[in-house]
Amino acid sequence: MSDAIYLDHAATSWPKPPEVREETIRALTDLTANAGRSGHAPAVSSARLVFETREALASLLGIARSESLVFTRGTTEGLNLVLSGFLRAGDRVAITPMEHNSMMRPLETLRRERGITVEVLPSDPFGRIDPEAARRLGRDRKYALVGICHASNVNGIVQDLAGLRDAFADSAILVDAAQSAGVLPIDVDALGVDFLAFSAHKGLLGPTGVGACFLSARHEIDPLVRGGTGSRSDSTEHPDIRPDRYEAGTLNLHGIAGLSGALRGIPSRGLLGEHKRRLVTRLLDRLASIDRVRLHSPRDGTALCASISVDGMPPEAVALRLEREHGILVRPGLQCAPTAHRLLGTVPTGAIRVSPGWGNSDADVDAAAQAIADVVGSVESGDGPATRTDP
Amino acid sequence: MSRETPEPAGPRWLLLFDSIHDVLAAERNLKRDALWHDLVPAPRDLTADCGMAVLFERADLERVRKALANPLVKVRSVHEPTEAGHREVTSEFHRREAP
Repeated sequence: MSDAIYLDHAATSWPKPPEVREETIRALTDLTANAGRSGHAPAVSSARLVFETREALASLLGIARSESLVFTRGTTEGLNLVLSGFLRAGDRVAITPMEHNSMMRPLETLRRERGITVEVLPSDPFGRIDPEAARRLGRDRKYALVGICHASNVNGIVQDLAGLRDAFADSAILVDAAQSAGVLPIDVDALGVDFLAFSAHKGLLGPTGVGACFLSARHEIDPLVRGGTGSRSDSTEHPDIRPDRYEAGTLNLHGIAGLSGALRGIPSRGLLGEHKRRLVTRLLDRLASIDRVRLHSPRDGTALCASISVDGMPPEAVALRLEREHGILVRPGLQCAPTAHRLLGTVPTGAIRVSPGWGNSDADVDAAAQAIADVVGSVESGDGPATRTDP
Repeated sequence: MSRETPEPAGPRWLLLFDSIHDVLAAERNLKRDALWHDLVPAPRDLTADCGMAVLFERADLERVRKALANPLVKVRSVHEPTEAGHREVTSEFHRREAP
């Protein structure tokens, strides 16, 4: 792994900052008792770890009431919690065309089981929703919920959250922040969104298996899991207090410890958006001069990852050669987002996603661009055939 | 501020909360305002919870109430330890003294 150039940060981040390792090892080494389950000092210490990590996350995301931020296994669980707990029979839902299957699959299940209807909002060719067009649509149609993938895991486009919040003022807004938490500034309270789900292991640089979901106090939704919480233990009724209502069972304390380390590093490290965008722009600029390469990400400096395909070569073949011949690690295929690929015209094969992140440098994306050029076998000079930009 | 500082000689009251999250939110506020407090296991004669309660000095009542108001931490009940067990003093805790 030491010689490889890892450009798959949209799947998960690597390497992890030293604070993540330190805090995880500390939690594994020291006595980490079960938070909220006993009154002895190690249990209180674990409960403090959970409390302080929750507070730090809430502070990062502009959430005043941290009990509205509940720990989950990751974005997928958070989205399932909201969709399953909020939507009722016959509800109408709107989504962007860039949604991940973590949004699409629970919606499809609810369509069958509860008779909800799901409409895909019109977008530009890259999947971006124009808030003005959405506002006009929102006047005619009332949606119980609007699901918004803040930043696409396919081509890195970013939706205008504030604009869409305003456009659908009467709808609950659910944000999939898998690719944007720790990457872009997010002020939940100021935005006024109702739900926001994310994982620790992507832009926040924490460990896998832990994430969180913001649940606005405006809605009391059903929990996904019921069971022991350490509170109101004399009753078999599941408690209605936050965060306990949504955190039945033992929390992933070691994951939360790692996340606490990741959060500790943010003041010095900063959010990753600017770094990612600079590297992606540099990469796209270089790839634009390679014949047979199609770009599916906008070249306007906003994309957080790059989506490309090569005429005549399946994405997995390109990815395999990039790894075997050049030590470049990328992700080919549909990236669990078939709806997005339908919009981009890249079904059924999908595309190649190059997603730089923390730890990557200009040299890494230059090496990736050169490797792609070598694989394609047609390095073009500046006045060579123009690369097509799709869509 | 809790067990590191000398324990007060005066009477203490006990705060109960709905969750360990609220207990620790109370601890955060009391620490911030430098008020003596101690986290102890919630007495079983008061609650079946597996959780914690917070002791504070009765003489600090006004300041404790103020500390828990910002940011707001919801108190479930307040109790005075007695030889026979605990006497509920929730209404006394919330009653504002005449200016």
